[in-house]
Amino acid sequence: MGISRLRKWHLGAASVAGLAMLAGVPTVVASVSNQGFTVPGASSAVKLMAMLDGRSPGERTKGELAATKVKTSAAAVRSADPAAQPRERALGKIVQPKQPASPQASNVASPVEASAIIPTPTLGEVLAPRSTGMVPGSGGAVLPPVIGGGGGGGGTPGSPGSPGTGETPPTTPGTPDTPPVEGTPIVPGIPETPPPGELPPVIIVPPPSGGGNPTPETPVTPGIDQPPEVVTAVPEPGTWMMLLLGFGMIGRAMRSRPRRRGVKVQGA
Amino acid sequence: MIRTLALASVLAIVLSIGVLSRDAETARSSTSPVLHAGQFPGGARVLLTPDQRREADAVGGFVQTPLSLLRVERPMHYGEYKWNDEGVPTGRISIRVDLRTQLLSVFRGGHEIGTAVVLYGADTKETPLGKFPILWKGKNHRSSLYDAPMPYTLRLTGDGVAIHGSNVRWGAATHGCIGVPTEFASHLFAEARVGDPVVILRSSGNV
Repeated sequence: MGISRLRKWHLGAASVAGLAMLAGVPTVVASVSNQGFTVPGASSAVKLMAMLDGRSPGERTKGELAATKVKTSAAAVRSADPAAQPRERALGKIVQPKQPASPQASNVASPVEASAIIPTPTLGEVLAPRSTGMVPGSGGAVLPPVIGGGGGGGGTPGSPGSPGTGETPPTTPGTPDTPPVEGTPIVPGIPETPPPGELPPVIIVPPPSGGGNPTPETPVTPGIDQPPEVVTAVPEPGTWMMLLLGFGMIGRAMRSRPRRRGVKVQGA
Repeated sequence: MIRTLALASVLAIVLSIGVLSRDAETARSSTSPVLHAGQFPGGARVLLTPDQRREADAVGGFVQTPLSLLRVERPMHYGEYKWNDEGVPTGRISIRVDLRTQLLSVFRGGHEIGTAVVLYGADTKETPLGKFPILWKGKNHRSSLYDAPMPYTLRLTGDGVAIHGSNVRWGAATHGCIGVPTEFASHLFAEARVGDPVVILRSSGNV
């Protein structure tokens, strides 16, 4: 009777410990592979774009272009006659180096430019706006905060920054139902995942006009400009709990060994 | 007591290995096929995880959600290509060209069967971005505009943009076409049919 109950304890502890290990193995594998160890078959943790970029010989730089189809045939003709005078290669078009804040280079004005034109509210103001300052629908100053997708550090003041996403600040009574300080504005092409721990000052940028890039080289990639940040694997709270419970049950099972084996049970 | 614990943990590890080696997508979604690594001989292929497939859908350019890629360990050189369609079921192909990475990928049924480094249009003669169906195929076409050979041409637009074989090397560009190594172009020419979609894009590089 006592023995069968003990057996049940054993089996229960063993099964819980086994389940805890089962739950823990994928997270261990993922965390190990994220740290750069070459675990065989662990390409699952690598991002798809990283895999594609890893194959690439790199971007084509401006100075690389030395020949086109027409020029190669001309060069072949030229090389056949060694006594020919060297000819200068006439440039068909003078290409100016692109300004960093040119509208063609990015849809978004650089942060320096934007702050010079439009007063950028600090993060504190975004989270707890002054009642005097916030007049919804008043135009430029109270646009939903939009972060430019061009810079690497950009991110919306999303989930960790502004609690209660989308809730109208209580200091503006009688406002119409357009909360100007929503946590995550929906703007196509802007990512929704903020970088971990970092919330830069809010930059207000007018949404790109429909024909903002009239030239044919407009990137047409739909979706996210910035991929989600890499987050190292952390076991779920449930997993941790299971692990601790399993250890607890093992300990209790070990304590309740039969005395006749001579194991001293210490403590209560 | 210890024995049962050890037995249970060994069992758990064996089960977890079994679960991990299988594609977990089959448990969650009924639409995606069951893929086993053994389906593709030689370890030439990387099966994509559900997260990677979601990322592919987000990044764009894939006509069909990709299921596997060819295993490419190092960066490819100009003139290099990979073609392997072993184990991939037959069907229509789709092509994805990324101008930023200068790569072209050919997919059949969601599985990548070929990839190559490409040449694309110079800054003065840019390659257009977008999704183009193959309009016309020509094995020994010759450009009338530039009087240059364009072997294994897959015409994409009415004004001459096409995928064709060319001498892919550093420092070269085309007048708007996509140039691929000629041998790769011959494989592609054999597989492609009029109407197959070609997506040309320039991905953003913030990986």
